[in-house]
Amino acid sequence: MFRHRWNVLSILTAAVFVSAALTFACADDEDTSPTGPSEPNGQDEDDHGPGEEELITTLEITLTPSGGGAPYTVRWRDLDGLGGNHPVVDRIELDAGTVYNGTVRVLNETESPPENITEEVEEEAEAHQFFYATLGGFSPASVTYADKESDYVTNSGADHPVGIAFTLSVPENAANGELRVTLSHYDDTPKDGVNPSDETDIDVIFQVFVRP
Amino acid sequence: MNVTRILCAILAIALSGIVILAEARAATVRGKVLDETGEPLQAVTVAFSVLEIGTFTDERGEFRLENVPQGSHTIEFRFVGYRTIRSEILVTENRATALEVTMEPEPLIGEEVTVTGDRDLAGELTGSSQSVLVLPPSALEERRGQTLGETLESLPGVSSLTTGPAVSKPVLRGVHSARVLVLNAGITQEGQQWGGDHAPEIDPFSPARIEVLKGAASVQYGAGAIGGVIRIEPPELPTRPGIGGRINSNLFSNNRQGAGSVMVQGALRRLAGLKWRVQGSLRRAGNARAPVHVIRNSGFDERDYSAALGLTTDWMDTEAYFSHFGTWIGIFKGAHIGNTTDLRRTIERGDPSIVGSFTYEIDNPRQRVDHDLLSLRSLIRLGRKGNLELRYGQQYNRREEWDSQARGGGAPPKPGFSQGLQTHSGEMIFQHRNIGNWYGKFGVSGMRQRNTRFTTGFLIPDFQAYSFGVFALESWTKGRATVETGLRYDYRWMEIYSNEGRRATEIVEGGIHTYSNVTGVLGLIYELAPTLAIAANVGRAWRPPGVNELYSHGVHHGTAQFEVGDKELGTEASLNTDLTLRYRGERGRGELGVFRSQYSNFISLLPADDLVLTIRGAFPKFTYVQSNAVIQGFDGYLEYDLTRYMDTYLSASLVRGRDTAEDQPLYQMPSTRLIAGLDFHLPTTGRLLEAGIGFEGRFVMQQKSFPEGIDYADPPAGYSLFDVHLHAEFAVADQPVRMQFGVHNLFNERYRDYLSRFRYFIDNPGRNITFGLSIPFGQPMEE
Repeated sequence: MFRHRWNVLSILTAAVFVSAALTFACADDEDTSPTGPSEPNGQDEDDHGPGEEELITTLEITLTPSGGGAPYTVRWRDLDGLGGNHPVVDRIELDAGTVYNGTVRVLNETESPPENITEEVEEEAEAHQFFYATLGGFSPASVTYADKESDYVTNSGADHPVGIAFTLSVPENAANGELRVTLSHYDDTPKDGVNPSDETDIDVIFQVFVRP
Repeated sequence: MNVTRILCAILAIALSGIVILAEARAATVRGKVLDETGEPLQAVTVAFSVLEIGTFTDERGEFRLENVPQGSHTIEFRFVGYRTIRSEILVTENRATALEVTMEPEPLIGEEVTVTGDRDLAGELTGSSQSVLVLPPSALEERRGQTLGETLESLPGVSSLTTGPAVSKPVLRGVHSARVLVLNAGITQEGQQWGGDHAPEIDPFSPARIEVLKGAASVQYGAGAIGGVIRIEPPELPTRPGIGGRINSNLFSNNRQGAGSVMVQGALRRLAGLKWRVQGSLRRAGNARAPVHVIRNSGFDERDYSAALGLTTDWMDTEAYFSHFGTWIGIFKGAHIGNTTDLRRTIERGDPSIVGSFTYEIDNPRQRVDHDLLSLRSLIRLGRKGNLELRYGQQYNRREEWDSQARGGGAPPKPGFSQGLQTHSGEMIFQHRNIGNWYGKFGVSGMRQRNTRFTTGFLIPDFQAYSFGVFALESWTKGRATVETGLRYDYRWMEIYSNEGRRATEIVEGGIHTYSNVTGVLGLIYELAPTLAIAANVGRAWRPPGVNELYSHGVHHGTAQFEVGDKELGTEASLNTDLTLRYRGERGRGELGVFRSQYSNFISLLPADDLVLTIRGAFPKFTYVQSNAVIQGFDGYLEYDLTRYMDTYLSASLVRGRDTAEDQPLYQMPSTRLIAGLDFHLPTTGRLLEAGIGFEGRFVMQQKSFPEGIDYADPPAGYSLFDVHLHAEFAVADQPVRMQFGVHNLFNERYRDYLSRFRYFIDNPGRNITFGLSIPFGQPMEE
């Protein structure tokens, strides 16, 4: 049969266990209360530090005809981030036989005011490069870089292009096609100014309509 | 019984090849077996295993064994619920040997008798109707300092899913993660175990014993145990008064890993029955080396500690165990690619884009994992009625992960993902003593769990869950046969919290999910001969879908897949059948298991034939879907002592998985493998207590059975690895000091394993020279 022999020792030990359990339980409960609908975590919106992966929602290209004319802006925008709604992508409309001076901006429009991520790319110019590829009927068009790392940072070593500023030449024989813009991040792979890295930050395609 | 006899004879010959030479002069051994109260015990197995002679006690507890050769032999008394007795007796012709044996009931804390996976019977001939493998202290000692996955990898039917050298998850007969349950000090380990790169949070120096139960064990352990259970037990607390301990130190050349552990334990002289232990360990490694490249950012830095306090009185055993596990793990940077173009480029090139030099520094991407476990276990002896076992567990798991894309330096970066999971669990089990031929237990268990995301990116939603289970397990033994049966009911309630108003890529609406199921098991063990038994098991098991399977939404960095959960998923269920042939002879031990698990609503991640367009490029969309599947195969091992100084062993595993609805192979099934080894024991003299040298070869075939169109690269080629290891135990100041030295991947072979999540990017690590030292001190260990 069950023998009740609560000697001093077992009571003492039991007390130790129970107090240990309680201390443990209380300590943890404090910082693990689930964030239910009633208690949304207000810190979320503005509290992500510099090391956190940035959300990029928008890539914006501004093209200005080199012979003069109004600047023309197109956007690739996915305001709700990965998945969810489809991105909204503008069509690029260009004139054949024209040279455009281009600049690119990268934004996080979930913030208000929108966060300009281009500034970060500039700060880390030696670790980033935009690549432009003209595809399909648009392939006769060509893009040349119009900037160098030293435009943004004090350069130490080979002064590779960054691609925030570029020149787009659309010859007479260019037709409708696509423009692919990628941003390579060189965190560990050396940047050589020619090859993309395996860390792609941005990879988007615009449809291009060329007016003859 | 002709068929059985023939079968038995064939198997005995095939397995052992032992030829018994009956001696000319023989004697009779008879006796009586009593329980602790002096009552006769019926159906106790009485055997001279070596001689392959055995019988059972009758209603009066009596037995009689004839034709026992003269000489000194080990006699064994086994009965479920009681401690096995082994004793050496001298059999002579002139004197009829009469024995009277009193058997003591089994359970002390942590030694519960369970139908499956029982602590003491697990390795025994008729211990379980399922395949159970036990990694004893000596085998554990050889692998100290390595991850749990690596430690278990050598067992038949077990492989490991790795994410670099520091993260490895055990795979049991083709399944892992949410389908395998890890039991640490009697408590189900609850971390973010659904993740393929989330390894079990276990200090490799803490276990004294690891048991692997292959196949479903849902009746005993609940819903998570659909594919198997890994039971990890810390050492038993000492009972002899005094203070003792052990210092362990292990060095590894490949990643220049140093690992060390100190353990001190004792039992009080003044307060009899009170015992304690404290233990702490450190593991630190730098970048591992593949034969050609350094695996950049693959180091880790782990610090763990544990403490235990136990009390034994004449009516109960209680043990409190607390452990903390904390680690920083570097994740190979080259595996965090930006998009599918990057992945294809890496695979085509065949070499990693990022290589580096050796450093202990851990950079992004990395993980920080902390796990606290408190386990309180009590066993209350209720005399002849049985035992009552109470368990309470509390755990807090905190996991933080940093991505490689984290920009900016200077300020300490915040993780891209971080969450905390708190779990309380309780269990109450009543084990009744044998009533006639019946022996068994019933119990209830409950759990409360809360998952909280901190102020970081979204991966899985916050939730709160409760589960409840009630079960009964009984076994019936008569003569050579034992029948086991059990039934369990489980209920799980889970509330998902909406992430609206928080930064997230996808809005999750809150909601409540409930799941419930009934599972059952029927097992049979039949002792064909004193050294040979056959066991069969049929059982149903289930698991509710994991929160990741319901709500995942995002890009998986290593595989460039956009993974999407489905909150409508139902429970996964399986019907498991297995057949195990077990052999325990004096010179050899072996087991051969054949299994088949038929799953309905098997949850897997499959391509949805769709692209998700993101600013990083287009990603193939993968969704969690349910289908029917069959996983089957066989595994087994045989160890045999060729001579007094030489043993050999062989182990093999084969698994095949098929999605029967889609009629295609399942993804990521382990490759067929074969392990063969030869050990030499050196003669011992004076201070040299034990010494040996061993050679092992591991042969892994290429996985030829894989689904088309899911993977970016075909499974890698097969490979062969060779190991050498030496060990010696010396008596130094009356203590057995153990030293060991080993070389793994002796020929520095380049290979990629199919279950390595880095196989697209880089080779598995190359040659590793290891050195280990274990120094006990003070009061000797009771082993």
